[in-house]
Amino acid sequence: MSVFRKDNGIRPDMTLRTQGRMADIWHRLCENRLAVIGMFIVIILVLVAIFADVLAPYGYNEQNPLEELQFPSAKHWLGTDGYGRDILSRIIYGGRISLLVSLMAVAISFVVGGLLGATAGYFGGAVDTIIMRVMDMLMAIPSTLLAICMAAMLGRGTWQTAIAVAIGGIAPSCRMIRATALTIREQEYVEAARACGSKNFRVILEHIIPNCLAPIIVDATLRLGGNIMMISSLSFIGLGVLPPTAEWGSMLNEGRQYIRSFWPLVTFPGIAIMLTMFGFNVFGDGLRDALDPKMK
Amino acid sequence: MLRFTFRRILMMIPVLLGVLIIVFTLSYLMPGDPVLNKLGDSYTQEQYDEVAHEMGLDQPYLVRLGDYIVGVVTRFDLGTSYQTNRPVAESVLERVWTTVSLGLLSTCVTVLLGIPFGIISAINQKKAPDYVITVFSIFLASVPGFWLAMMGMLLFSLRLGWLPASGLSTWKHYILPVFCNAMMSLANVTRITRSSMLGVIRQDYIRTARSKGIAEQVIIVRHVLKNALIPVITVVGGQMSMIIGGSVIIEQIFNINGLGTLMVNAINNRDYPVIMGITLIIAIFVSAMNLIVDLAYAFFDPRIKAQFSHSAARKTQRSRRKEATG
Repeated sequence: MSVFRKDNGIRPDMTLRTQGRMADIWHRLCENRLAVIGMFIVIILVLVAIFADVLAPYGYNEQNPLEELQFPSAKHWLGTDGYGRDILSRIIYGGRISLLVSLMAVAISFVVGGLLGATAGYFGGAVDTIIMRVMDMLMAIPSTLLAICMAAMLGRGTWQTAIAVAIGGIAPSCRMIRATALTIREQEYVEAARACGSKNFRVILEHIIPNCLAPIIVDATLRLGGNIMMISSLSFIGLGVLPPTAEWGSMLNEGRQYIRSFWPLVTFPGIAIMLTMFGFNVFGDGLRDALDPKMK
Repeated sequence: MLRFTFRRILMMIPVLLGVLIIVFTLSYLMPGDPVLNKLGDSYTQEQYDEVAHEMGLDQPYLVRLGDYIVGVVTRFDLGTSYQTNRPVAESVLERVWTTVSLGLLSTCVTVLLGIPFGIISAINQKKAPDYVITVFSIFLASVPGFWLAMMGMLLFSLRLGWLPASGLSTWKHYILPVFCNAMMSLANVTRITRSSMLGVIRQDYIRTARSKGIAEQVIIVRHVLKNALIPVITVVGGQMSMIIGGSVIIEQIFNINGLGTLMVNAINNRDYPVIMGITLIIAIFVSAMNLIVDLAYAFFDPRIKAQFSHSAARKTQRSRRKEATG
């Protein structure tokens, strides 16, 4: 035992097994062409979001009244909006905001939903019934409507939008993690941890939640795309992030007033949303198939 | 079946009561003062107190919540709009059909196109129709409905002039909003029907049916489709909630006078009773749809029906007793 403890309790054969499993997952993921395309889109999106300051040809709020509503040209590749701001730059910066808010929303919904779901699944009985009935109530309200109500309550802003979007995601996350926790709590290692005197909270944090990670990763990837759409929807109806922050939904909303005469402002931000959602959807699907080939 | 229906309806009551509490609490926590919205900039403290008393806003949270629940349950009183002074139930019921008809038509499009597309894709697995439908559904699942609506309006209304761009007076007005709202759900239903069909096609009993010489069409319709539809029905139930939520945004684009437009106006004017009323009505509608889906699920799956039938319950009891006595 003492020999194994020297390297944090991880036996060499266990490391090899884990590496082998990861290699299998990676191999299965790479075999799926669509998933690779999705992964490629997601990587590009993340890089563009990180290096937006370097990549964007203009600032997101750099106004030029002399160049308003210009069609695509060599100077402005995707044209300019009603304030003379470069559409491409705003799309690049918008990607950063969309991705950031979506990540924040996914994190919030998984932390809250995950803890509630793991608690419900682990304890069962009355705790499970109470938590799940509250989740049923939340699920009776369509997530878009719930997000609209929350956004109206919290006001406009990055954090506010993230929380508004996250609330709708809590109930599905809770349900998913509860279902996984129900099977995990019967495993021998959970019983062993309890027999060793581990407190319930520790068992949930150290055994239940880490073993729910595979479905969490897949669901989070799929939800990132859905959240980006939800954030755009909120901005589109005038809730969401505060102007002049560049956000794809608010750009589309601005473009509505020029829809008859100026198409670039309603076209390019929409294509950005579509590509992002496509990337996350196919990458998430591929990841799910790679992690659990039986689900294919 | 009757027992199952009754139990399912009973289960709806606490959920709707919970929705009432959630909706009321959300409105209670919303920033801004509706009294100031009504009074404007110049007012005295007495006037403020009087209006607050008239609107019932000087009461504590629990009293207001109790009054609201009693009003809704006993008289279907959803309160009075701060902005128009009209009963909310009246304004909501006036427009509910517009939103519900949009939602139901979108659901019909989703089911009537999504299931056949899924079937065609599954029975032609790894052939051209399967690839076309799969690529098409992956693409549609990534297109936000409100953007598709704008693009549809740009192309079919403003450029080609084939369809009207706003309102909802003739059947032509319904085409763009219904299809744009249905597309994402259509893609999801197509994908789930395909995967569900493929799961059933690989089962032993299908192989047995084929080896008996039963015609392929009969196998698909009677054996595969009936069993494959069970998860599809569950997904359609979930999509309905998405479609109704999507209607709120779609109505904005096509200037449709439905609950969505009313909701956004109410949010902008901090008209809390209207926000609560709309959310509650939509939650009731979604719960009712979920109830229908659950009943359909029980109808299609004999195991669920058997679980709740008296004879099956008696049979199970008898077998258990036999097991116990050895």
